[in-house]
Parts: sequence; C-alpha cells; structure tokens
Amino acid sequence: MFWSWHEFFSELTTAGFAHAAWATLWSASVVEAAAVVGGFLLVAVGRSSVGALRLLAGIYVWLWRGTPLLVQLLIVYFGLPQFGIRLGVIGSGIITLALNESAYIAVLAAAALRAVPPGQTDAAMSLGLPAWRRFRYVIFPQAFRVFLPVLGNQYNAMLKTTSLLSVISFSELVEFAQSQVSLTYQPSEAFAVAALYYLALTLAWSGLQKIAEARFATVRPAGRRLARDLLLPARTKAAIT
Amino acid sequence: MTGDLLNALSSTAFLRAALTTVWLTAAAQAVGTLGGALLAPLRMANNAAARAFASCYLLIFRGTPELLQLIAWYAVLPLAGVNLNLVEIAVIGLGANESARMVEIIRGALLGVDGGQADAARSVGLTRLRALRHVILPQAMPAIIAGLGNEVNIMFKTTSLVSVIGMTELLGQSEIVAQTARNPLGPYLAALVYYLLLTTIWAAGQGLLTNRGGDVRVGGRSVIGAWWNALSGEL
Repeated sequence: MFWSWHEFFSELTTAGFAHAAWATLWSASVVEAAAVVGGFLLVAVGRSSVGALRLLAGIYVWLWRGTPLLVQLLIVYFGLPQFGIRLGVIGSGIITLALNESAYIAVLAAAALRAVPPGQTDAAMSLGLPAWRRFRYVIFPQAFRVFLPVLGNQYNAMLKTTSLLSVISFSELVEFAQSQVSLTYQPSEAFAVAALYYLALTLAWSGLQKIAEARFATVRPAGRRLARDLLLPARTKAAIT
Repeated sequence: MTGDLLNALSSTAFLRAALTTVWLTAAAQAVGTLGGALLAPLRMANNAAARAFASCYLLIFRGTPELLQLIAWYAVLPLAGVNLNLVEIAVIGLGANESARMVEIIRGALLGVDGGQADAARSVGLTRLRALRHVILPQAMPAIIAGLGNEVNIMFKTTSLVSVIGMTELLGQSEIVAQTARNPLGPYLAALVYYLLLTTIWAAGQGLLTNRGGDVRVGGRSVIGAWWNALSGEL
C-alpha cells in the first residue's frame, strides 16, 4: 500500500525514532564543536609565518574539500583497518565528519577575518596594542559577528550531513528509518516521519539562530524593539538607549 | 596498497565510472538549473499561492538530507506506480534537490541588481518581461554563472550519494571492486583521486572563465595563484 495514516502515526510515536533523532542531534553537535576547534587551528597554521606550514594547511583544505565526504568516510571505516587502525562506527563517523568540516570552517573563519577592514588593525597598532591584544579585543569581536550566522548555517547543514553515517550503520534518523522499512515494508511512512524529524530539528535551530543573531547584532531596526528588550542584558540596554 | 591503487586507477572500469560521474553531474545540474529557473519566479511572484508553493518546495528539499530524498525516491516511486530505472531516479533525485539550491542562487542574483534598474526600465516603457529580459537578467547573469560553477563543483561530489541506491558511478565502482579485494583501501583511494582530479580541473576552468578579460598576466602566474587560492580556501 502506498500510504497508510495508521502506519504513519504508529511510526511517528515509535520511541526508536526519538532515540534516532537524539543520535542525529548529538553527533551533529559533537562534530560541529570539534570542527570549530579544528578549523580555528587550521586558520592559525594557515596564517603562520612559516611557508611550509601555510602550504600544509592549504593542501589539507584542498584534499578534504575536493573529495566527497562519503568516500572519505568509507576510506576511514573500511580502508584504515588494513593498517590495523580500527576506530569503530562512532569513532570513524565522528572523526571523519569533524576532519572534513574543519576544512570548511577554516575557510569560512578566514573569510570572516578578512571581512574586518585593514584600517582596524592599523588603528589598533597606532594605539600600541601588541599582536595578541589586537586580535583579542579588536579583530576577533568584529570577525565573530560575521562568523556567527555562518556557523549557524553550517550546523543546520551538519544536522542533515550526519545522514551519511547511515552508510556505515550508525543508528541515526536515516538508518533507523531504513531499518523500520525492512521490518514493515512501508517506506513512504517511515521516510516521511524521518523527514518530519529533520524539519523539526532544522526549523527549531533556525529559530534559535534568529534569536542569537538579534542578541549579537550591533544595529537593531526600530521594529525589533521587543526582541531587543527581551534578549539584551540590562547593562547593554542602558548603554545603547 | 600502492599496487591496488595503481591497478584501479589504470583500469577501464574506473575510467568508465568517472565518465558516468561526469555525465551524471551534467544531467543532474541541467535538471536542477532548469527547475531553479522555473521555481525562482514563483518564489518571487506577487501571487501568494505561487509563493507558498515555492516556499513549501524549498522547505522540504532544503530541510531534509539529500541522502534521505534519494532513498525515498528509490523506494517510494515504484509504490506510486512509477517505474523508472536507476539513472532516471538518480537524475530526478539529484535534480529535484539541486533545483531548490538553484532557486536561492537565481533569486539572490536577481535581488542583487539595483532596484533603480527595474524602475528605469519600466519608466522608458519596457514591459515587465522585457525589463527582465533586457535589463535585469544581463546584470544578474555573472552572479548566476558564478553560483552555477560552484554548484557543479559540489555536484561532482554529491553524485557519490547515488552509489547508495546502487548506481555504478565512481564510488559505486570502487565498492564493487572493494567487496572482492583483499585490501579495500586501493579502490576507494582510486575513486578519491578521480574526484580530486575532477574538482581540481573544474576549479581551474572556473578560474579561467571568471578571469576572462581580467588580470591574466603573461606567464600565467596570477592565473595559477588564483587557482591555488580557490582550492586552498585562502586561509
């Protein structure tokens, strides 16, 4: 049968789907958090004064961004055991996704740093700030505002990218939906439920992102008064009103 | 391992699989570009129903994983009485998703054209369609083509997903070889090398296209520098 509402609601209320959604959520969160650390490290290496290090960081980005994630995943999961490196399903999945995402985060973070006008560095230097303080108090806060929405989008995409882990049998939403289909032979309903879970996750995240962006915005349009008053701590509010 | 890799790289089966990846990329991108060009006007229409339709399409196809979409097309279409072969399912699945991505690129490019251009075109008496055709689109085209170039680069990699529904493109081919090989790393690395070649060569072509009439210096130094910048992400 093509569609049965009864089957759809019984799938929707299966505890297994909620567990699988949790697996999607935590794997995406762990990967993205690790990738932010990895990406920032890559930017640091890519901007080092040593030419060889800069070249290495560039080659890393080229290799990880120039090949499909699915191939990288299968190489780590099926290929590396040939050398005695067995990371298991979760280990291979998380590590590969994090190494891949690090390359993308590095490129985006570098772009955010470039978005800060060079005059800011000049001004900070003319005030006599040493390099670290220039970065910490002048460049980073401005680049961070550019980077935050970009990072939010990356996390949104990562919620969906973790579906590739189903191929190495990590039990997230897509893998669980497939295992349900092999039990019930009712693909439409199981895949629809998985899709609903993804939509719920990505829409909830977009909502949170909007709130966070309103919180970190420097200029707020007049129509956003309510959001500002709700979200800003009293001290900041006093400073701008 | 090196032997396995070289064997796989030099085999005609892998070369054929690479060609499959190339034409699958072209076909899916063509379907996606066409779909995006049809959906973008709906997304920007004055008609609320048209806008709602386009928004629902974008919500579904951008809010769920492409892998789930492909598996669903593969499993559900036969149940709905639509019997297509693997290639058709792959092109439809990839193309339907790409349409949603292309809508955003086309819409972004059109919105990027200064609003005064449309006003000026209307004030000299052009109809809305002619204003779009002769004034807005020519100015939006560079952004659309740049976006399209990036999408093709991503599509080379995305086509690897159709191996999951059993199509023998590059990754599918390496899975076939890996299943019987003593050392599975070789065939997977061969696929990796082919993909890297495809995306790297494509990036070079893209650089030449966007540099056309630009600062191409004698000796090609700046072209190669721009190529490497694009590949290494300008950290």
